Amino acid sequence: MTSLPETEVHHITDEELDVLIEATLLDAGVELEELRRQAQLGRFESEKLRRTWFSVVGLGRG
Amino acid sequence: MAESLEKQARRFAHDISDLLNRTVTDGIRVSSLKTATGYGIIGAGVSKNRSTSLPIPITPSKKDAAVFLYLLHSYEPDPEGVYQTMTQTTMSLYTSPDMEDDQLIVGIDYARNPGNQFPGAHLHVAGQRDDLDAVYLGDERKTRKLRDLHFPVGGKRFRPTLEDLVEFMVTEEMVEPRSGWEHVVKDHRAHWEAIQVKAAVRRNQEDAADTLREAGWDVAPPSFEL
Repeated sequence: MTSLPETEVHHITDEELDVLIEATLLDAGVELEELRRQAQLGRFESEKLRRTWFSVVGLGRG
Repeated sequence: MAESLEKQARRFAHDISDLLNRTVTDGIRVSSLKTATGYGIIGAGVSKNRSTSLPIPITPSKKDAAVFLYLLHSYEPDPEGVYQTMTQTTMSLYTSPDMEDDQLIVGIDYARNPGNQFPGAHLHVAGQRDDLDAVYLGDERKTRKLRDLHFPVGGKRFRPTLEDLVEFMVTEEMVEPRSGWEHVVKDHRAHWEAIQVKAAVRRNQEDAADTLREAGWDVAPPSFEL
């Protein structure tokens, strides 16, 4: 647990993040505004959308 | 002195891989994706081309997994820019790598600043109930399922951890763990608790100082204003 971590940390630019978020939403079949609405309601239409929300908001685009 | 933010992010991911691979998985590598503005996520297989985690098969051997873990942590620097802070977490167990709605066993979510009225640390369970509409008095939802409920769990400092979830999977006999898994969980849990205590002290310095004085320590405030 204390050995030197060799884990990968990928760095992404704002432009690359735009593309990634768009692809993530496309894969989930949802618009960002609709995903925000479901998050505010605390109820996602599917598990996939719940997981997608955590990715989008975690990357600062929620 | 705190590690660099980069190193902290790397260590977060490393510790997760270490815990899983020494208890209930085999060869899982958890990675991190960090934005230019300091946001970051940690999950299995996350990269510049993938923002969601891969389902992690819960088996430490060549046997087929009975359950699959979805794990995604989010982090960003604290207000002082010294420590990485976990801002969001979702840990969910499914009966299939497809991770469909009816395959959820339990989902443990945490949001440091939830954007709704529900507790930041909560869990979802799945199952069949037909009578939940009768105990809902609001008007924005027409129906709700069992998995829509947010069961509060522990709050920011005492929420369930990945160590608890590993223990759950083992004690509920969903996986045959590696030998010595208890010690690994114990060590990781102690590490987590130390992090939480330090964070609690940083945010409650006068209370921490009072507690230490009560225990006989000599504690003096710093020369600068808290």
